[in-house]
Amino acid sequence: MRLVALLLLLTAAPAFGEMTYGEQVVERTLDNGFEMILLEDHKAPVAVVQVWYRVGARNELPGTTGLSHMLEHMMFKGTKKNGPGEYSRIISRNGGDENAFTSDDGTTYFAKIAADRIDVELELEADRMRNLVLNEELFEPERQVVMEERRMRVDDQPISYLLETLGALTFLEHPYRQPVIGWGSDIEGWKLSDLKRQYDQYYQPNNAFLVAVGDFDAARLGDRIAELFGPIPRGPDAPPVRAREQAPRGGARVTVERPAKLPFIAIHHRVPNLNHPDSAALEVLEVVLSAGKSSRLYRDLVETERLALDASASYARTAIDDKTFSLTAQAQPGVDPADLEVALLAQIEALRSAPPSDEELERAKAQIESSFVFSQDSMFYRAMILGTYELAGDWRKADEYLPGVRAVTAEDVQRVAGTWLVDENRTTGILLPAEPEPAPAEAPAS
Amino acid sequence: MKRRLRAALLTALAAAAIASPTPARASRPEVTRATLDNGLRLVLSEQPAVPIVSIDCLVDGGARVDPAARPGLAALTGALLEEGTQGRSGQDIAKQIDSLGGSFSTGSATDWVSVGASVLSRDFETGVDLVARSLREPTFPDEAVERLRADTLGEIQASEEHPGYVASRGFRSALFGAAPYGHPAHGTAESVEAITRAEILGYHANWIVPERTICAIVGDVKPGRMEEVARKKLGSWKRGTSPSEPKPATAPPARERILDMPTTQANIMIGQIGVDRKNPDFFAIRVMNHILGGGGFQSRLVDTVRDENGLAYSIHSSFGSNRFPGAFQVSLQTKVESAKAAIDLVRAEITKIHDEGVTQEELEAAQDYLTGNFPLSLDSTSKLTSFLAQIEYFGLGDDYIETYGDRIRAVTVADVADAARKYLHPDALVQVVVGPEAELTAQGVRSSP
Repeated sequence: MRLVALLLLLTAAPAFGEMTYGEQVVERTLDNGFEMILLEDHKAPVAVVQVWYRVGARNELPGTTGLSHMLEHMMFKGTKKNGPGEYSRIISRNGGDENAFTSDDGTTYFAKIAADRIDVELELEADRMRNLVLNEELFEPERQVVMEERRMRVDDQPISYLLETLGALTFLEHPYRQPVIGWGSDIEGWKLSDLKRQYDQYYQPNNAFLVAVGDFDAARLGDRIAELFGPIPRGPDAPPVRAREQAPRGGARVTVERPAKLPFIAIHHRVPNLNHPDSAALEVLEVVLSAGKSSRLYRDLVETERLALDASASYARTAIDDKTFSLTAQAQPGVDPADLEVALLAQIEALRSAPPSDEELERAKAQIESSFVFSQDSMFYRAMILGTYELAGDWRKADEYLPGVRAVTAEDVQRVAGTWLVDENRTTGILLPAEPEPAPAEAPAS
Repeated sequence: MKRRLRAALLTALAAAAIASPTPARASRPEVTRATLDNGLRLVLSEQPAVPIVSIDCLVDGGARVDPAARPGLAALTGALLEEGTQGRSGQDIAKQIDSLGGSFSTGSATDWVSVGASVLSRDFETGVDLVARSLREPTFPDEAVERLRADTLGEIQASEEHPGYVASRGFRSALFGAAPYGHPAHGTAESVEAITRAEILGYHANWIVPERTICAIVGDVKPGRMEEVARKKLGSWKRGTSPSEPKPATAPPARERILDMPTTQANIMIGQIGVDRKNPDFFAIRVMNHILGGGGFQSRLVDTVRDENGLAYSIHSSFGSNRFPGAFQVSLQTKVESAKAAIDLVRAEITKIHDEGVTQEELEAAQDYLTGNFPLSLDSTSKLTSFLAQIEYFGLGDDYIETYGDRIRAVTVADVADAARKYLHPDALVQVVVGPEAELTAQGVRSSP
């Protein structure tokens, strides 16, 4: 349930007469192209700073996948001015928390720190944008760390392994087929020169922006950011992502066997993102299917039909390029995954053949509306909302979300299910528990 | 206007200022406490910044008090509290909370059963009503009992595919045995099969009683109204008679186990029984653990195992401090072929901090982080709610938030050295490794009874 709430947060926008982001945000763009999106929030003497680089798995090439994520690791390995680990040490000495994450679309560095220490974080971020030290002594152990991360997250996690496989089947041409952490063989093959090229191509002020939410004066903070980031020269424009996924060539499926304990099914549909007029109805569709215990997937598949231990829907609305609407479910013990798949498809068919009830629609809208209010409790998530929308094109689009949702009718939900959740748009992945290998032969008891 | 949380945290931050020779005393969020006639304790704090309110009730008990033959009884009972109350089905409850756009959940942990709701402040009374009905008058319908029993069996089976979970379960079993904290909170397949509805009703009648309950309410509602509504909904709840507690575990001797699993990594856990939450040396222990492996990217274990040797992505130590002494544990994952090397490094670090303590510089760095970070950990309604509930639960004192910074600052190098010698036992470590047994054994990872 908490996870559902978090997913909703990322697509939330004002309700109940609250001010829009457009009314509250101070935006500035420096001459070198660096942009800042600043939102004052005075409920606690704390600030969240996020620096977003417009580079992720989407920008990577076959053979060197995972470089964006590897570079994220290396960003903590020191600059000409601050040695290895100094960034984390300094933030820690100031009581702050810091980390970073890489996705398909971007790489984000963040710190949460007492508002009167925000300058410490800003100086460090400005420093590491162009002054990173990359050498073999630092690179090689970190490559091993990333190999361990891949083993932990993917190789030893059967469901992650299935999703990685299905991703590669869902996109033929677009780099969304590539895992963020990189293919294992690519990780082994990276050269230091690959990493340096990645840093020079993408870590430039004109390919990054800063989001800050917290207890500061936005005008004064903007001046300080301009002092720190303004002197960094504009770099070459990042290479554009030219790949465009073409029309689906028909449904596809893959079955993987891993040492899992229960079957798991993931069904992707290729659908448009927030730039398409159907996106609001797809969002409502996701909530009708899977937000809360009164939603269709939980009520029908988990509670009534007893086919799934867990089931959910997820719409990648804020992806930069058109991506997926997914259904996933883990089978109850003893359930044939074929029966679970039939039931998932029946859920789609039901929405294609009849609109949701008025009660369902109202409940879904109430969930979306109040999720915005809850999102205000966290400075970090407010920053995430702004950053996610900016990465996808423009932070102002966060304000278009709720009006769009409010206008959705039950018939719209039925219509978009009929348009997008269709066989030829669908890839299906099935995880089957591998038969355990026979125990090594022991001396037979005689 | 809506700045009470801000004001409180500002003073807490002032107290945390680096190198401040005479730190200012931090005030705390304004908190009202009340005890109802039936023994239920309320902790209330108005936080008007966002129009929401969180209600978090902890009922002392949880997996710690599961009967020896019924691991998982508290967990199943806790999960069932939202599956039906007098006159209302689980789906009725789900529809109501989803229609409000709020969240509501019931569950359990090692030391408590919990019932909580987060709602818009306009829905405050409905939120308290949902919580109160679940605590007082759950119906445990047969259908729901069987359904959640099956779900739990499924979750137990599903969890077996996660090596980190298998390691943690094996470690707790090796450490605590049949005593409290030794079994997984959700139980075992055998015990969950055996739990009867009568036992669930018995758990509810015996353990889920007002005198064992603490409810924290935090958000955009006046404290007077918080108390009024809580009294109305919970004041007539009848006291019970709690059965006697089981005894805490006694420390086992050094012990090493391998749990065979076809993974690419060895999942390693090394540790021992630690301390309870009210231990008088808590602050020295917290500083010590921060330096050893609790400090995010800043710790001896991260330096040695991850940064210098590239042997792990994630390595962490924690001193779990619960009602009874919890687990001190170091956990990490490394490729199977480096398991022995990583284990040796971890053991050497535990021995080193035990024998040699820490430096003044390490101490100050840890104090800077812990004091500076503390106010940041209380900056939202939801975090403050669970924190206030736990301060009350563990009896940490009304001035806990106010004095936290000073008590961290008061820890000396000698205090940390004493704590390391007293509470770490390098010769009596329990070690559990999950991975391919034959390969692990071949490199010298051992398994002893």
